[in-house]
Amino acid sequence: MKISFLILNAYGMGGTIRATFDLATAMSARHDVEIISVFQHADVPFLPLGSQVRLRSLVDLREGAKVRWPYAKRAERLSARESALIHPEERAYASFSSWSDEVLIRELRRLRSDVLITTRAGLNIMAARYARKRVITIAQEHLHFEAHQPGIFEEIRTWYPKLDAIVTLTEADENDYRKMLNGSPTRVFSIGNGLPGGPRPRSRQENRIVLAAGRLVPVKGYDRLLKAFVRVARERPDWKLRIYGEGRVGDKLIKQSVKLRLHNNVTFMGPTGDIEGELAKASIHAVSSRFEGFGMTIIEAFASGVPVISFDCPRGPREIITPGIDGLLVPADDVDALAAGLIQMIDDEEGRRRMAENALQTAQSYDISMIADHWEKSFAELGR
Amino acid sequence: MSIGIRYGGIPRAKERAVTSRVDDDDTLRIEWPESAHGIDGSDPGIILRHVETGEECEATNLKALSAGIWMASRGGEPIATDDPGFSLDDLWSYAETPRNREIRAFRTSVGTLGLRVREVEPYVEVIRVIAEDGVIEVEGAVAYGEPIRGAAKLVAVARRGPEPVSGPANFQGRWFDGGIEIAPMAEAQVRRRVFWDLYAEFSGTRLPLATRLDDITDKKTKIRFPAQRVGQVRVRPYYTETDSLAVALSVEEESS
Repeated sequence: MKISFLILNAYGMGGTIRATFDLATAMSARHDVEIISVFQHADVPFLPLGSQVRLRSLVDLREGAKVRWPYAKRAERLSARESALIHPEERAYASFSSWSDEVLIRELRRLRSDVLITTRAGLNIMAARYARKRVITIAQEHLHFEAHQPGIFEEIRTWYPKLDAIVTLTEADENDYRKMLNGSPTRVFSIGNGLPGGPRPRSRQENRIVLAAGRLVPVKGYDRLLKAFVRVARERPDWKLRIYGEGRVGDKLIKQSVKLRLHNNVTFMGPTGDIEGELAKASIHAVSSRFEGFGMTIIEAFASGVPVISFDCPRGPREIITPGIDGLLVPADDVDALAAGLIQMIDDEEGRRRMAENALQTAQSYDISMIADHWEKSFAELGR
Repeated sequence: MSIGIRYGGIPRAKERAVTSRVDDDDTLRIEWPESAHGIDGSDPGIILRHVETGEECEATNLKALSAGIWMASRGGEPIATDDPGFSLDDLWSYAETPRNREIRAFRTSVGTLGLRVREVEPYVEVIRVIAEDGVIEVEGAVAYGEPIRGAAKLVAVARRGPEPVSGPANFQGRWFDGGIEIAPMAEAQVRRRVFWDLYAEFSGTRLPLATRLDDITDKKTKIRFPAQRVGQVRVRPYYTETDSLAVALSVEEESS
């Protein structure tokens, strides 16, 4: 089977690129897989990609890049013009141009793969409009249903029913899209992101460390985690919180931490290139998000034998964590409940060890090979 | 400790160590899954290679290792490990023994086993800092030195300018606690900024105060202590480049 992924820019770094590369690499063991990057700004991709996967780009943004004869003049002219086909509310609108519109249409009309997987709203809509009938079109939504602005949402509502399938990260999103499609033959599947195979370090549950990780932005709710940790620090002073990541509210959080007198218990670790190694040094992973589209760090924590405590926020955590088995869910936005849950997990060492074992089991169902199997099953259903 | 990829390639070895640690007696303990055959650091098959010099030796006598990073291999392959390579309790226990050389096992970001050898001197590992009510209080424990008992001093030594300032402190075996008033430091302020290093002093010997066992490097940027004020002088403890505890006193600009 020939499978093509269409992605905005395969040469950067980010969650969608990583997930697409991992999936493409896993599928390439059994299929002919290529990744088509709309844009290319670097010679080689930043993230690792399996050697069996072919990678090509449509619009070369590198200095001195040549456009194929006889398009050079046209490319220059159209590149300066805004895209007429991508909706201005598509988050990557600024990247597109009239030239990328033209190149994309040409590519989609020409492409003869068995399956085309597109990876963001703007590209999903383009596939619905221009891909050949014989190509199975699957739109992947890395954003959650309600993240789309009203204007682009109208386009989604108009064009997604022309696709063969939509793949969401959570069941909650699956339900939302199914409702939106309202009787159209487009299928909807929810398939989470997969964890790349290979060995991982394993937590011994021996360090009194709670770990949190993610960009330091309001949606991650670290302000509430800090408040909850005031009680933890008071009642279990030898337990520490390590927060990994950077972001625009970093300084604000550090100031809050000083104000709360958490300097003996909380460290802002900055970004790390080895989150699995850091997870394995911890004993509990805390998720304080206001919203979590999926929750890849939960899976990563599980795979390192670290149970997770999370706010029961929409949408990912409650679909991944089984409370009492591999972690705890506490009522969303309830800081006292988060503090109580942390102390409960801290005190129940035996329970934590049991949860850690179960977490390793849970992680296996997110192994990239299992996720690739889910995808292939959906291909089979669509091919009928 | 995240040591970068530059220390070695991704291991191909199928067998991955479950445990890879340096014990209190400076022996390398490596356990493989179901290691009934019990290979450990004394196995002559384990080779250590110094990253900087390329020097190689067997892992049987770690005491002979020179300072630096050493990567472990067996049968020509890097040793792969799933041990995260950090246990605070183990490091505390290791630091109970007086020594002048510290050997730690760590896992690189690609999952291989390395050893880090450092020269050390006795110091007080800081556990808690309280900066309130015009006082800076420090709690900690002696690392790599003999236990001490008796009254001591917490001494602040200005890097340039004022005479040292001290406050009461106490050693109870390994445990140390002490406090120092910030007013005398602030009163001695002669420049816009003065930096003071902190020491635990006992019968004429000064032990530096630092936090080095917790596996967090570059604390300077990661931990911020509360500031106190004496008039126009802002007093804030901080960690130096070597993760030692110091205090910065700065005259605050008049805000118009």
